[in-house]
Parts: sequence; structure tokens; C-alpha cells
Amino acid sequence: MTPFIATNAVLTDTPQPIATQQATAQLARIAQSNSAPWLYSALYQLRDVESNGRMIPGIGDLRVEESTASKARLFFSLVTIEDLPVPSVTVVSGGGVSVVWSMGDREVKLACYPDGQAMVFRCENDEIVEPRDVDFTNLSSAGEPLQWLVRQNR
Amino acid sequence: MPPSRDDVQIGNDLFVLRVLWPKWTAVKGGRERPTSDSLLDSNFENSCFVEGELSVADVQQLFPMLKIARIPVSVLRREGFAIERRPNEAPPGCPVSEAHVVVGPLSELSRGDYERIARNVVKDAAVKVIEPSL
Repeated sequence: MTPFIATNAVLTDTPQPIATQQATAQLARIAQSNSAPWLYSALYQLRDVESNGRMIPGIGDLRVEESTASKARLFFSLVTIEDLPVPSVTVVSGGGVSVVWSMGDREVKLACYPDGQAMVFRCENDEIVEPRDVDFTNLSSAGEPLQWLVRQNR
Repeated sequence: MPPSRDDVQIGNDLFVLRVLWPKWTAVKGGRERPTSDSLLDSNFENSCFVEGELSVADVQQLFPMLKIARIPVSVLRREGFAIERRPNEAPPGCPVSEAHVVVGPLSELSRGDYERIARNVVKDAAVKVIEPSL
């Protein structure tokens, strides 16, 4: 299965409310470039997080609302960098989603919260350098932290 | 809900055990540690168990195949987390339901601050990750 076909399979299988259709189109466009392997993995992991959620007394509520996962997909659609490292996508107790890209001493963490908000944290040497709210209306600012992540290796 | 009070009967010399969902650990500086995600419950109530009242083996029996973080109570309190007993929320089969606690800030924090203090806890060298028993 090529990355392009696999990515579209992930997108097709995921419920798509109207608000995310534009993001889905953008994700499909990126996927068509066939050169963003991080995206396929991120979408696959995200779908896994959505479909395996459950309430586990002693650990927490690991169910993720579709609207929360859609925020992560929307963020992915704003990223124009294709050669990112594959991120780690996981659930956060209480219904959040965490996406972490790591490269050397730097990492960028996207946190999508169950109330619909999202933050991105730039970290260096395991310290938070900058927390910021994600502005989904500003394409360039949303992807800026990831440009910072890859800049050190260029 | 965040803890309503800090139970001072749970001494600073004790440890709590936090069960780690897959991907809630990372290797940093050559050391495996929990990620901050393991202590960032959206409702500020992270389930843990008081070690000594419940053994590591007991928790491993409740949650086979999962890693466990062993966290000093003193480190949690240093960063502003409170510890409150929640026996009614203990998992089914828990042999000592009183050992079940939630840890979190006493009042809601900004998300940036919550992330920062959770990260400070998991980065502490005294926090250990225990592998699952086979």
C-alpha cells in the first residue's frame, strides 16, 4: 500500500463533520505529494486513539471526542513541512489528545483539549520555551513552531 | 474535579504509583521517564495509588502489561499538587480501595502552568518507571 492510498484510507474511515472538510481536503493534498510520511503515521495513530478510547477506573477517562481529534487533524492540515519526524500521538486522561514531534534537544507538543481549545508548546532541553494558543485562522503562525523544530538541522 | 483538599495524613516520605498508558513514557537524557501527559488529566484529577497501602505487585495485577510510575509525594507537593483519597473511584477488584487517590492542583491552573508543573514532576530524578511484570 502506498502512503497516498493509505492516508486516504485513514481519512475516509474517519467521521468528517462539515467544519473539517476543508482540512480533510488539505490533508489529502499533502498526502498526494507522497512525501510526508509523518502525516500518514500521525493520522493512523490519531484514529487508533479515537477508536480505542475507554473509561478505565484507576487510570482515567481515555475517550476522545471526534471534535477533539478533528482539532488535531485541522492543525495537521496547516502544516506545510513535509519532512517532519513522525510524531507520537496519544490520549490524555479526560479526553485530550497530545501530539509530540521530537528532534534532537527540541520538541514541539500540540495539545488538543476536550473543550475545543488547543495549545502548542515549544520545548528545548526538556524545558518549555514557549506555550501558545493555536490560532487556526493563521496558517503561517500555526506551523511556525514546527519550522523552529526543523530549523536546527538545516 | 480537582482534589478538594490535600490529605496531610499521606506523608511526604511516601510514594504514589501512577499506571502509565502506552506512550506515556519517553527516554530523555538516556533515562526513561513518564511524559507530562501522564499527569495532565483535563479535570485535574490523576488517579494514583499510595504505595505501601497497595503494593506494586497489587497494581501490576490490576493493570497487567502496563508500566507504572513511582512518584515521591514530596515531589508532587513541591510542584503544587494535592493528594486526596477517592476510595469510591477505585478500580473494580482493588484489594484496598482506600489506597486510591487523585493528585492534581487544588484549583484550576492555566494550561501552560499545568503543563509546566507536570513536566517538573516527571523530570525529577526520583521518579522511576517500573516495567510490567511478566
